[in-house]
Formats: sequence, C-alpha cells, structure tokens
Amino acid sequence: MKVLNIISSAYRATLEEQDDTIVWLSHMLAGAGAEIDILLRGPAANYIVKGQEAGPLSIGGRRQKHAPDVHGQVVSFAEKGGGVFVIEDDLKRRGLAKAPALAAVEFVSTRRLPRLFERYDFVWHW
Amino acid sequence: MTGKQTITVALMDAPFEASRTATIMRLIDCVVDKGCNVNVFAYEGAVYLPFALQKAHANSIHGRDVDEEDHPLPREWIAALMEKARVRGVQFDWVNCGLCVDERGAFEAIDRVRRGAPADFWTMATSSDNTLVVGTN
Amino acid sequence: MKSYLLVETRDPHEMRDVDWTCDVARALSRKAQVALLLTENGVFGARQGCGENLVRKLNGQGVAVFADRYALAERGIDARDLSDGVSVVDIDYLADALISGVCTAWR
Repeated sequence: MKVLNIISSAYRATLEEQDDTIVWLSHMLAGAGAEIDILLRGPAANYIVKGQEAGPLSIGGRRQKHAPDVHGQVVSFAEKGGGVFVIEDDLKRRGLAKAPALAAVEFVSTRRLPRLFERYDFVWHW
Repeated sequence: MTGKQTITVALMDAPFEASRTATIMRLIDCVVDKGCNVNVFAYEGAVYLPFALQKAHANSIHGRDVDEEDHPLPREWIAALMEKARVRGVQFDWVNCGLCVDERGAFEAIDRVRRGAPADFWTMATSSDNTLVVGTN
Repeated sequence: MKSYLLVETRDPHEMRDVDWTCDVARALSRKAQVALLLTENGVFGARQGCGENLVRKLNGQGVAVFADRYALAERGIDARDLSDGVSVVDIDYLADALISGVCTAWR
C-alpha cells in the first residue's frame, strides 16, 4: 500500500515537540512498514530550504537542549528512501524559487497532481 | 523600560498544537524580565498548558532517550516563569477557566494555578495596564 | 495620537484574511500611529519577491513593519532577504509595546 502524506501546516508546535509532528509521523509510519512519500505545500514548502536555525529556547531559565530541525527531518526522511515532493508554485509565491534547497526533492505543479496521486493507494492531507 | 506595570494575556490554544504557545511564553518571559506583573487567563484548550500530568518521552526518530531528548513541557515553562517572577519580586497569576477545565477533565494543574471564571479575566483586564488576547485560529 | 500594534502570525499566501489585517492597518493609519509586527508564519509576507508582500500592500500608508528575529531564523529567512522597510526586532518589541500601553491586537 502506497501512501502520500500531504503536509501544509508548518512550524506548528515545533518548538515544544522539537520537530514537525507530521514529518515525524511519516518517519514512524515508514518505520512500521508503510510505503510513504510526503508532499510539502503551503508554508510547509519552506521545509526544503536550507539555513533554518531556530536557536534553543530558554523560557524562565529552562533552556531547551535541542532546537527543532525540520529541514533536517525532511533530509533524513529522503535519506531513508522516502520520496519528497514540493509544490513549485508555493515556493515561487513565497519568493523561494531560487533559495538553496534540499537536492533530493521533486518539484510538482498543482496541475500535475492528478498524475502524482495515481501512484498512491491513499492520499492523506494532514 | 522597567516598572511595576501589569500585563494580562488571554490564551486559547492547547499545548503541543500551535506555534503561539512558544511565542507567548517568549513574550511572558520578556515581560517578567522587564519587571512587570503578569496575569494569564487560560480559556478553552489553553487550560491544558499547566496540566500537571504532562510527561516527557524518549524519541526514537531523534535517536535520543528520555533524558537526552529533554522534551520541553509547557507546564515546566509555566512553573519556571512563576519561579522567575517570584525571584524578581513580581506577581504572576495564572487562572484556568473552570468550566473549560470541567469540560476537558483538566483538573490536575501545577501549583499556583487558580481555578476561575470569565469574570476573573475582566477583573484582570480592568486592573492591568494592558491586555493582549491571543485567540485561536 | 493613539498607537496601535497589529500582530500577524499567519502566512498571507495561505490565509486570505491577512488582507483584513492590512485593511485595518491602512484605515487606522489615517488617524493613529500604526505598526505591524510579523511573527510565526506571518514573516513569509516580508520576503522580497513574495507574491503577498505585506510591505507592498501597506506602501505609503505610514504603517511601520517589523519582523520577529526568532521567527525569521526558524524559517531560514535572512534579514538581507527582506523587503525594504522591514525592521528586524526581538520579542522585546512586543513586550515594550504592551508595557507602553499600545493597543495591541493579535491575529
């Protein structure tokens, strides 16, 4: 069974969770045997861009050990063999068309999504 | 800018779900640093922010055990802010909306969190120098 | 003159309602001092060359635009990538506005 996980909500609770919860879930499902790819759209398209550096938070003197690294999470997902797609138009809209980005990513347009969706048994938009 | 002004903040979002939890904690930390009193009125899902049973966990995807992961918990942030306020000699009052607590069964809150009602928010707002409402989306 | 601070946390490319924030800022600026603070995904509207550029939308209306340094770093947006007219600030900016009594509305 092949699954395409679509992720649009971005940087949501990442500082408390120290990651993006849906990229994390995709890792976990892949580890459980699912054949999963991810499609980043909306603000989550920014996850492929290099140079994201949230410093560890310190709240009331309680210092966080690990700042989230959502770009690294996506890189790691690709390195484990997961497919990473991104909506090209969402990058362009945000002025990111020429930003340094993850190499192992496939750019797709919304118009071509029907062809992409055909490859999967399930399309889950989180 | 220093002084004993009082700032009230109303929150609505549950922990581990929104970007604004961390943003608002950063803000409150800064307001306490500036020597101001802080009131917080937690409405709806925000009553779970100081929930005492929040528990850190290991993270196999990160490859870290529970100690190394050092998962930040909002209840610890709130407790740390309360302690920082105490040390700085400013007041920090956190009120959970009681009916929101009842609906959600969020009864176990950390020490120094009070149960209250929307009228408490009104009292906080009218006795403060400024009030910020951070609604949910 | 009354002062207002509008805080925008939403990506304008994702949420049409961010236009409402700009409409309010423009309307208020006729009679008051207005600033717009972009934080969280709101900073996506401060980047040069983006489609829903909030600085462009407010151009000439006398609304000062600020962007949260932490939110920019979290998203890998360098200060050099921002539109002219955006000032980078820390969370102190919001704290100081509240302490100074600036009427602050958060979206």
